[in-house]
Amino acid sequence: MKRTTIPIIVISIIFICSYAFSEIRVSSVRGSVLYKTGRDWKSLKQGMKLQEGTKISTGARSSAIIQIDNHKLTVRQLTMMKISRNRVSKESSNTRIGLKYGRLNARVKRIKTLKTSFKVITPVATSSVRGTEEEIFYGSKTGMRVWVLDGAVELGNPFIASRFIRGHSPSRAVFQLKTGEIKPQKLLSVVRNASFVRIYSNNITDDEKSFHEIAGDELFDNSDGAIEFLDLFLGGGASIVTIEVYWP
Amino acid sequence: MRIRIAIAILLIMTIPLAAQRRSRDVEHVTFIHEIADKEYVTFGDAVRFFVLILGKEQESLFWKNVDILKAAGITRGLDYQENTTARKGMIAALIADYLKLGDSLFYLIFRTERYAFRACIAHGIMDYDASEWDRISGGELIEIMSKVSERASGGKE
Repeated sequence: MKRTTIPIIVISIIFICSYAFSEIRVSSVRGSVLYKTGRDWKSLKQGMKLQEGTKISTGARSSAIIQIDNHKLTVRQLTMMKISRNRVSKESSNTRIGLKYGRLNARVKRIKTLKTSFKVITPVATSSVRGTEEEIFYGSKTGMRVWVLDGAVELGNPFIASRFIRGHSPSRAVFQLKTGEIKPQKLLSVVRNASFVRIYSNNITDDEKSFHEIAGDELFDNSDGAIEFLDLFLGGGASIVTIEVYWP
Repeated sequence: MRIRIAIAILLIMTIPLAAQRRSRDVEHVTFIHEIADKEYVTFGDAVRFFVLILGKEQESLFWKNVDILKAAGITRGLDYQENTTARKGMIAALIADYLKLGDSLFYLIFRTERYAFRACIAHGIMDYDASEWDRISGGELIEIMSKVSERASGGKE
């Protein structure tokens, strides 16, 4: 036996042992869920062990829960994703998930002695979960949306500076970056949109309020006379009031 | 001996059923993959997708899928040909009928695709920066159907 053989074997054993903890296992499956490692798509089953590079695709009314080491990944309906990388050593844990379309929920468990990196990559940006829970959506029209349910998430791509979002459930701060846009929308845009409410004149009755609730602004007028009301149909009766609202 | 024969019969009966189930799953998900890659979808694609959202088995014939939608209470907006390019208004009409989006006065009165589309915007199912005449890509259809399915199940999907 050569002098170098034993050290090579020892180093190999140490290397293999240090990565032996890495495990991707299917915790549960509901509905039509397929996976692909080679050429063909096959049915995903509970208890299956998966490897790096596996693609997972869910159908309508279907979902799967994947346990990636200590992390829990829920693949929601109509989603296509890939486990691009999952490496665990004694010092670090490194997971990369590629999301082509659909929605994921990632619950990342952070161990103090382990440097944890859990990234979800979409065509527009990358979300890096730092010991927390997040809900991530990507669609070709909407782009990427991230709800931080607990802890903190770092978001970014080569064109925008990284942003940290802290959150709690129910999440109010939503990161949204549309496909083809460079700048993400304001984090509180969802709160802002929900804050716009209909206001009524003091002079209208409850019936008129109900009518407004049903009709919205399609057929509503505050004018006093019939002439002004008719003007609405001729395109000139409505008043335009400009309101500026400043959000942090 | 009898038990062994019974087990053997049971196995013979269940194996084809399992295989059938697996092939249905593959067909179901493969259809979604095909849709995802399409630049524009047809009305036939939208109808087939709706059948999946309803949790029913897709039929190979277009009119049979239309019948499934009718049986589920979607009666409006089903007069198009299978290969007609789908427009947002067409899909909105199906959605508004399925989800009973009746809180827009003009949609309640006229039941047109235009107001169905507006009702879908008001409920966050479709985007406001579009028109009911816009064609719809495969990726967009998946997004929209995902929202429809979530709403139909009360956000439990």
